[in-house]
Amino acid sequence: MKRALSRREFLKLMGLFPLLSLPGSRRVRGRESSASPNILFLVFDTLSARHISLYGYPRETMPNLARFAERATVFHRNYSAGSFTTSGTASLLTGLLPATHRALQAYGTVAEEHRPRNLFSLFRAAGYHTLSFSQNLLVNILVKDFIDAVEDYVPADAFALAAHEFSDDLFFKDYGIATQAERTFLSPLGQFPNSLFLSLVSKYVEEGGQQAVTRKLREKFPRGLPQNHGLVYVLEDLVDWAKEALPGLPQPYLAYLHIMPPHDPYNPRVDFIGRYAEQPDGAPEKPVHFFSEGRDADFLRGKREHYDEYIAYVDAEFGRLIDALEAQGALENSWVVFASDHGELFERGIYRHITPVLYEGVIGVPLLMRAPGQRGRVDVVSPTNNVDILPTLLQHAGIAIPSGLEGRVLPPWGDRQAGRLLFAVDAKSNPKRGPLRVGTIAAMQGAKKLVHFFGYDGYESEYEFYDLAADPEEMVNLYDPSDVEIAALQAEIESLRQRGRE
Amino acid sequence: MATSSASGRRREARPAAVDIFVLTAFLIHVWTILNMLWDVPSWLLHMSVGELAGAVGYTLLFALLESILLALPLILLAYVLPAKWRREQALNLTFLFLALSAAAALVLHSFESLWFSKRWIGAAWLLVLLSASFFVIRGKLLGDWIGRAAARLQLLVGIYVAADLLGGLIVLVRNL
Repeated sequence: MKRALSRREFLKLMGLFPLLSLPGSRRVRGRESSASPNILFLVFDTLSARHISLYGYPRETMPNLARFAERATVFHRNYSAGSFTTSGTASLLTGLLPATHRALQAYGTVAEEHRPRNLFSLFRAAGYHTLSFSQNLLVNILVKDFIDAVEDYVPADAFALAAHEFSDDLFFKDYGIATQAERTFLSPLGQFPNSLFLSLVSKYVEEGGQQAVTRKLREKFPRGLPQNHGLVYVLEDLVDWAKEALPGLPQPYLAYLHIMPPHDPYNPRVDFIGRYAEQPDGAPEKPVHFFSEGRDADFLRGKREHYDEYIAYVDAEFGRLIDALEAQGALENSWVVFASDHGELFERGIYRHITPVLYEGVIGVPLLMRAPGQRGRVDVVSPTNNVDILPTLLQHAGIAIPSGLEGRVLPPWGDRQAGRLLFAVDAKSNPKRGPLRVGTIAAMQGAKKLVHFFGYDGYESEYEFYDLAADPEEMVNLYDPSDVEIAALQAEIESLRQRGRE
Repeated sequence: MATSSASGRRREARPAAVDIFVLTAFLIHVWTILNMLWDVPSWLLHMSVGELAGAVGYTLLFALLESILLALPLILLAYVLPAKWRREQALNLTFLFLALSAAAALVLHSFESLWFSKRWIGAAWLLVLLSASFFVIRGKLLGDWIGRAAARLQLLVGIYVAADLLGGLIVLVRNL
């Protein structure tokens, strides 16, 4: 269903009233200068570190990120805490592991007792102006539980060329449940909708709207437009808005921008299509996993190429945004964080990230932080986790770090902590309370990685163990139940599984 | 026949609009409730009692909206028909329309690839509807059993609508 304002009108208003015309914007303060640094937190959905040239990928997918990295701290072994948006992003926003925050399913929310302490509330309490924008509806479901601390909530369809979602307008206060009911009624994935007829009408109308827009931009986006959850958009519009709006925010500000690309469908601009047709991806053939979806190597190779093209498009727009902000001097007193909520997989018969496996492709995510005025590059090779971002940002802003966060201040600003244990969790079929009964947990310590699959039909308890230093592609399962080191990691995983019993 | 006359008299006291709504709402609610029951186990995993009530409330409210949106044009169409057709034939044609539409919808939901042939399916649906309508009207094929069925379904649909309105109340409270 279309918004009352056309996109053109909306963008014109943007130019005249940088902040007042933000749709859904709830409060505005005058601009103030501040000694506290601004925080620009950019999260690119579904961006795997394995596909970034900065991290050694043979295709040059992100030259602008490489340029940004020359004056940033680069984390070379950073992990997401979850394998898909809800769990991964909830960890970003709360500094807690999925086993703790319990936003485990699509449309899931953080457990009530953990909601009051989040990225927005902690910065808002310290006097920061807080802004949240996400093109991913699952993120907005999480953010709505923190909405009291978000001064500027920019709705997901703010820059959409076509939008087909009404819960944000009609049921703002109860967005999470309303959206889930709306989507299961009209357009669920992989099952019958709860609506017999209206779902078909809705699908017809939605397609019509999308096709009309896609036809107009066919030359520029021949594969189709970026789209998800009923929203159709181009990244350029978001960047154009951010270039103008961010410098005009009251300071100090925390701006959280969750950008959908390179989440599929991989629909880049025309100048990126075919870019890697002649360049091998360097990915070795890997054994088919017992959780294989049956995708063959040719299919995966083709999708990988499209994904890389999409990443290159994302990189170009990221570069354009950073260059524009720098030219305006808008980053002089700003930390810029470049992150992702989870990765993407094209191996072992598995495609994308809705999978029980936790290989490096799906949990290895980029993380870069540029300090205000940073002039050189710093490389951090010790393993880190996205749960570390929140306490680190709090320290950068001079805000006391509350107890109970599971992340730690990242090196070089915090201790390097050799031998630190990190986790990633996939547990979509578990309740909000009680031990985890079915799922996958990966424990990383140094170069060692133990993965435990538990509770699945036919796979009640399976282990995989890898030495990532000798075997970065995770080809050889070295699991040995008699190994003392492995047994210690097993005990840690079991302890994490039992969390939330009370 | 006494039974036919008695049921005919009862139907005369009940407007055709009610029967049309009953048939429409019954079909839509059966589908919605059956499919919603598939969702409830996964909802139970991550929703509190209040949230679950909300999810069910929204779904029932949407089902009521869908029932009204579909029934209204059918009711209006019925009142366009000549008065002598309005009761029996309007109801029979409504049943025919709903049955064929449900069949077409089920096909499109079950076989996603057929969505690309939706225009052909729509054309086939229209052809069958028009042909069958002709035979229903001329041959009085369906008799008055649709009307009797609608009478028996009234109570059940009444319960559905009451549940829908309760769902609406829950939605209202959750959004205040």
